[in-house]
This record gives sequence, C-alpha cells and structure tokens, in this order.
Amino acid sequence: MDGLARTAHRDDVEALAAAGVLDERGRAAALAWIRGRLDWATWMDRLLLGTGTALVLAGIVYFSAFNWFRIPAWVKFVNLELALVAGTVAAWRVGLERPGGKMLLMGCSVLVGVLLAVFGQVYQTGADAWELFAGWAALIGGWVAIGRLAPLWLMWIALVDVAIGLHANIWWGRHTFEWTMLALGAANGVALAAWEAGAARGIEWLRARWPRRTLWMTAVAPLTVLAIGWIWDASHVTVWLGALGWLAALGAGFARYRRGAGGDLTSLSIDAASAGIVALALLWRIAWTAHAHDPFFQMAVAAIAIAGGLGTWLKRVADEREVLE
Amino acid sequence: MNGGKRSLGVLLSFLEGEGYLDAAGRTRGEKRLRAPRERGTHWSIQLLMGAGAWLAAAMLLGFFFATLRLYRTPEVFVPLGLVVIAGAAGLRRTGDNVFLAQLALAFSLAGQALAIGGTAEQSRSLGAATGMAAMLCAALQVAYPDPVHRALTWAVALSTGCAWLGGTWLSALHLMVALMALVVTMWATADRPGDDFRPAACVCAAGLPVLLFVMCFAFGPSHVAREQLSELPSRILLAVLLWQMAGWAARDMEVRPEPLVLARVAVALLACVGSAGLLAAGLLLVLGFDRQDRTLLALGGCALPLFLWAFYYDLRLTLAVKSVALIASGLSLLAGRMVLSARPWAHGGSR
Repeated sequence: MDGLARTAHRDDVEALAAAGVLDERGRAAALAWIRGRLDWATWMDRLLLGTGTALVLAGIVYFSAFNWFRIPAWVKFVNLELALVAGTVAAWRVGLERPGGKMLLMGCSVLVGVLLAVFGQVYQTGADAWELFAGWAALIGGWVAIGRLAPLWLMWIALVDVAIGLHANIWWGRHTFEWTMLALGAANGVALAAWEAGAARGIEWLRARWPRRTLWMTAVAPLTVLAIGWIWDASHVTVWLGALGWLAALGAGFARYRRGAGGDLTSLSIDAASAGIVALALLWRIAWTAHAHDPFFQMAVAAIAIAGGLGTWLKRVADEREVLE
Repeated sequence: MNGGKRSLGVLLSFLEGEGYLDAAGRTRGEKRLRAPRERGTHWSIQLLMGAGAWLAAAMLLGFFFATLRLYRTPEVFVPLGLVVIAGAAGLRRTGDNVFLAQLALAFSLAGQALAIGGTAEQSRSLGAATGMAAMLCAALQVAYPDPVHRALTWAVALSTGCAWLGGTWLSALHLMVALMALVVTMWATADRPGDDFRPAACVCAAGLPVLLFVMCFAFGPSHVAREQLSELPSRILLAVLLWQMAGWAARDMEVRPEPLVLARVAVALLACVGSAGLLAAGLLLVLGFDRQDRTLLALGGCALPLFLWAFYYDLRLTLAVKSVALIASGLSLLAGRMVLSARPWAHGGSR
C-alpha cells in the first residue's frame, strides 16, 4: 500500500516539523487540519454510550448493595426483573448488530448477577459463593453466544474462572492450589484457542488484539506457576500436567505469535517473560541443589543475561515484522 | 489502514494548496513519510527488560546484604549507593550493548535502593529518604539518558514519596489526585511531552491503579474508605486541575478571554459541589482523543472507575442518594447521546 494512503496522525506532523519540512505555521495548520477531521461523532457516541451505561449499572449495583429492610422483597425482585425484561426487549428492538443493542445486552448480563445477589440476600439460601458465579455464567450463556461482543465474552470467562477458583477452595481437597491453576490454565487456554480459530476464519469482532492478549496472559500465568512448582517438587501429577501444558502453550504461542498474520509482539513478550521466569527458577534450583549458600550474585548475572537475551531476540523479531501495535 | 479523506496524501495536498509547502517541500515530505517510522523499543520489550532489571537489582541487594553482610555497617549505604550509581551511569555511556545496558540498569537501581534506604536508616525519616530519591531522580534524568531507566527512577521516587506522604498527613486518595495532577501538568506544559517527560508521565498514569491496589491489599477497602475524597485538599487540587484543563482544551481555539474564564470558573465550581474526579476523568478522555494521545486516554480510562469506586465510599451520602445520582447522570449521558445522534453532522464522520 502507498505509505501516503494511511490516516494522518499527529506524530506524522511532528515528524515533518522535526525534519524541517514544515515551519511553525505549517505545523499549526496541519495539526488544526487533523483535529478538524477527527471522527468526533463516532467517538462521542461510544463514550456517551459506554459511560452512560456504566453509570446506570453502577447506580443499580449501589442500590442493591445495601440490604434495604424498608423495601419489601417482592418490590426489589419486580424492579430488577422489569429492568431485565425491558433491557432485553430494548436490545432486541435496537438490534444486536448496533452498539446500543450490544450495550443493552451487556447491561442485562450484569443485572442477572445483581438479581442473583439480591436473591441470596433475601432468602439467605446458604448456597456457596461459587454457585452464584456458576449460575450467573450459565444464565447469561445464551446472550453471550449471540451478543458477538468481546467484553461480554471476557466477562463470561472471568465468571467461569471465579467459579472454578471458589469451587476449588471448598471441594478439591489436597493440592487445591495446583488443581486450580491447572483448571484456570486449561479453561483460559481453550477459550483462547477458540478465539484464535474464530479470528483466523476472519470473524470481525474476534479480531481485536486486547482480548486475545488478556486470555493469553491468564492462560500462561497459572501454567508458569505450575512449571515453577514442578522445578521445586515434581512429586504430584498436577505439576507434571502443568509443566507439560506450559511447554505446549509456550510452543503454540511461539508458533502463533512469532510471524504471519497472527503475529503479535506483546503476546510474544508474555511468552518470553514466562520462559525467562521459569529459567531463573530452574537456575535457582540448581544453585540450591549444589549447596550454594547465597547464590544472589550468580542469580543477578543470570537475570541480566536472560532479560538482555530475550530483549535482543524480541527486538530482532520487531525489526523483522515492521508492523507493531 | 486506509485514511481516505484523512490520509497523509490529502494532508500534503492541503498544505501545498494553502502555501505551507512548495513542490520541493512536498517531495521531501513524501519521502520522509514513506520512510519507515523511527520507532523506539516496543513497550512490552521495555517492560520485560525493566522487570528483569528490578529482579537483578533485588538479587544484587541480596548479595550486598546476605553475602557481604553489609547490614552490619549501615553508615556505608549512602556512599556505596552513590558510587554504584555513578559507576552504572558511566557504564551506560560506554555504548548501546543490550547486556551492558541491562547490567548498568540493575546496578543503578540497586545503588538507588542503597542510597535511599541508607538515608532513611541514618535519619530515621522517610521525608529525608524522599528528598534523596527526588535528588537522584532529577540528577539521573540528565546523567542517565535511557527511557526505561527514567521510568524506573521516577517509579522509585514516586513510591518513596507516596510512602512518606501516605504515612504522614495525606490520604491515599489525595495521593491519587496529586499523581493525576502531576501527569496533567506535565502534558499541559508542553504541547506534546517529549522523550524526557513521557516515561515519567507513564509511570504517574500507571501509579493510579497500582496505588489503589496496594492500599486496598495492604489495609483493606474499608481503611481506604475512611479517607474520603470529599476532603478539602482533594477538592482544591481537583478544582485547580479542572481550571487548568479547561484552559488547555481551549488553547488551540480562537476563544475570547471572557467565555474562557466563565468556563474555567464553571468547571472549578462543579468541582466544589459534585464529584470532581469523575468530571476530571471525563475531561481527560476528551482531551486524550482530541490530542490523539493514548497515555492521556489510558489515564482517563483508569481514573473513571477509580473515582466511581471512591464515590461509593463517600460517607457523607447514603447509598440511596448515590444510586439515584449515578442513575440520573447515566440517563443524562444516554439522553445526550440520543440528541447528538439525531443531528445531521453526527452521520458525516467529522465534526
């Protein structure tokens, strides 16, 4: 593509001014030209919609956060249920392909959680906390599926993660922490794989980078913890599974994010950071086994070498790729 | 990305047509814009290397204390720290080798920790330590020209300052407002912050959520809740901030002084009666978009939920009043959106 066909940015004007192509008057005129052509309408539309919805939802959550004894239980339920029905009908009428419809669906999904919380307040069912989040995720699953909205999907995955964590704390017995890490790594990894497959097929709303980076981080971090656990004590099957999962994730991440259409330097940096942390843990373990009493200096040198090496490699990848986010 | 009516080619034609560029200038401009952009190191690589340097510095401190038993002679902390910093700065100036730069970075951070910790140990005062951190930060901005180092040095100075102020007379939320004011001042003093300011401003922006997290983690939300944002210092600071931002927003417009003063007074008064933090966050978002500045947008994006959270803990109001205020504000914004979307210009893609 012709380099001059891309959208003019303030940085381009500053570059022209710095190179002496534009004088101060020309720079001011160019900046005014860019500012005059910013898409204010779309941006204001998104800002007002996002903040307006957030404030309304926050107001409803604030109201429900306190147990109002003066308000009968049925009034609380009717209010929330009416809001839910009205929101759902409005989302259907507005249309899920429009930002307003998507935001309404997001609002309804949050309201379901508020309704469940109020239900727990009123009836004191004695249910475990994980059931609230699992029930919330199950109830909004259909909306999430048809919403085609990245933040809504991420919210749903976060609910599943919280449900897993809370369930593990109660029921999973010995090695709970390791099992939880393994389950979180697996759940987020599967979600990411599905997301990447959809993005590779050209589904537009799945192509944004930030949800994929978030999922990648939340999949790799628990597996990294398990890999470090394996280095220190490989006596349990969870750390073996975690270490193998970590290796597989590292390889898959390297293959996916190194080059090509799916290439992404930020995700590759997460990959590299995970590898560096595990390498340092391994070196510390070796020094520990060799009875080095205070291996601090050696570890400092290792940290410098590993960070420097990974930084050099990532810079080389960046130079090769040219296109960075 | 295809710029269409906002493309670089159209911009150059406009500048040529208006007489800001001649034919030779246009050719030079095209050549300059077609050349690969000079990029700095990607932020994720800088973050990785900065984290690596922190870790190495911690190990070096472990070496100084556990292996060399430095804790027995606290009087040498400050001179040793200064010598280590000087050595690191000298080492950094020898070249751009990545490993040497990383080594220098780790030694500089360890030296700063020694000097600042030594000052606190000798004087038994976090105020003196903050003074030392501020002096080192100022000196190293000049002596150690490296963006990652600048950001980390600012982080050290800000952390020390926050620990001192937070432990004495300022609440956590006041500190957040002060951080925000610092960032905005840096941005507003320069039309676009140069390389010198950018690392510092990014650290200040990141400091907002980090400070909130640390405070909540260390003391619990209920402790932070008692430190209300409605207290006088925050209100004054936010009023001044909003006054300044209103002027900044109008800088490039041909606005007569009277309406500008009126606008400034209006936003400052709003800070006195309403939730000034939310207003400031909204203004930051608008200014960030107007100036196409991601850091400002990120700061506004961090500040908005932060002040919403602070509003929840405003103990002067009942939850009923707060929820009504929030719902009414949200509905007002949504109504504003409906009104705006009915205007013809809203469908033209520009203002």
